[in-house]
Amino acid sequence: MHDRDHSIVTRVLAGEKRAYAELVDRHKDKAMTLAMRMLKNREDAEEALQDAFVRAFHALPRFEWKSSFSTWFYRIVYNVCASALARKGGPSHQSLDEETGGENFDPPSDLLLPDAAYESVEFSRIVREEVDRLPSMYGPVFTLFVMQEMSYEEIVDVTGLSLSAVKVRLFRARALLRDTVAKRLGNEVVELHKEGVQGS
Amino acid sequence: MMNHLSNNDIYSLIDGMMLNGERSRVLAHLEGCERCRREIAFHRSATRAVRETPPVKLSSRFTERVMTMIVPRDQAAWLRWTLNNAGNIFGMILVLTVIGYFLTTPTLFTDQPSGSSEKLTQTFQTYQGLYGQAKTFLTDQVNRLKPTPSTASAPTAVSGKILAMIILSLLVLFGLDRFVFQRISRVRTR
Repeated sequence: MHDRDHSIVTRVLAGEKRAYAELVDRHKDKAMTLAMRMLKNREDAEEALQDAFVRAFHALPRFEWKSSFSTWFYRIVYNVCASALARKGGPSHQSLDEETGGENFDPPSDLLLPDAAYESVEFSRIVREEVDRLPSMYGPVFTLFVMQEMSYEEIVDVTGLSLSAVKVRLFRARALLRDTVAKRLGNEVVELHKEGVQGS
Repeated sequence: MMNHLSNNDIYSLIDGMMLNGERSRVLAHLEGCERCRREIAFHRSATRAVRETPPVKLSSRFTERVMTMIVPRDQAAWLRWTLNNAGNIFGMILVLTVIGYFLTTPTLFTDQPSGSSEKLTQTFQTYQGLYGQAKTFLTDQVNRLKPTPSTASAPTAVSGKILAMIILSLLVLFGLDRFVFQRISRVRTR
């Protein structure tokens, strides 16, 4: 993956500008997912991503391969989206009391659901919907960690947050996701039970 | 009352970031704790569900849009060049047409009958005269630049006017190109 990016970047820097389209095709969908998590709006996300790709192209000669192309590019996407969010008066991505705590954010509570519930299509659908609804403070870090499978250090590199802030955001995202999904799943199980009683 | 695993223990185990000693303690706890097993099952399944989510799809038109902003389209290059230089082209065509017209029809108006067009004829004859003087003036200037001395006559007041007109024409052409044609070109290529 990285070798392929490297060879494309080399071609672009050698003057074959059209090769950049390959880089766009390779990274646009995953980067769009990150932009959507931050901006919560397809039109804004697409515009921000377009801007990020153009900026990345012009910054390519200064790219030193200290990280992978994707990490470097996601950093640009993250910054462009954060700026767009700030312009719209959204929440700052560099705030809150993240340096402190998180480990005891919320103790686990009972998940009184049958094991089969976790394997159902319904469960996956609810999880995806709730991930989309995660606050833009937590959604991007969660996306980078779970979907892009980045390490904490890579997320630090992309977001410019401290390591502890990344851990706290991830922790809170998971706790929030767990609570909202459990709540919805619990409700749906109850609803299904009601339907079963009425049907019998 | 039974102590349960902390969220931190659960996430560390799922992410595979637990040290061996810690891991043994957590696994031992899980053997006897249904609630913590369910927690871990939940998070594992949720992570899997998120990983299996297809990314937001963007069409190939998105790539085209990005590339249009980065690399101008080849088929539009001639059009962009034409629009960028339209001011100069327009001006040159105008000047060459006028010059060509007078050069090829030197006696066009001299044989015209007198009457309503008499003034027009005189006007064109005046312009013909001015053109002749401008030609002489330019020839003189060219001869002056040559290493051999020439017997060129001194520039007249008319030659000064011609020079001023040339400068004025150039300014008009520059203005047209800079503020009209290039602006149109930018709008067209946006």
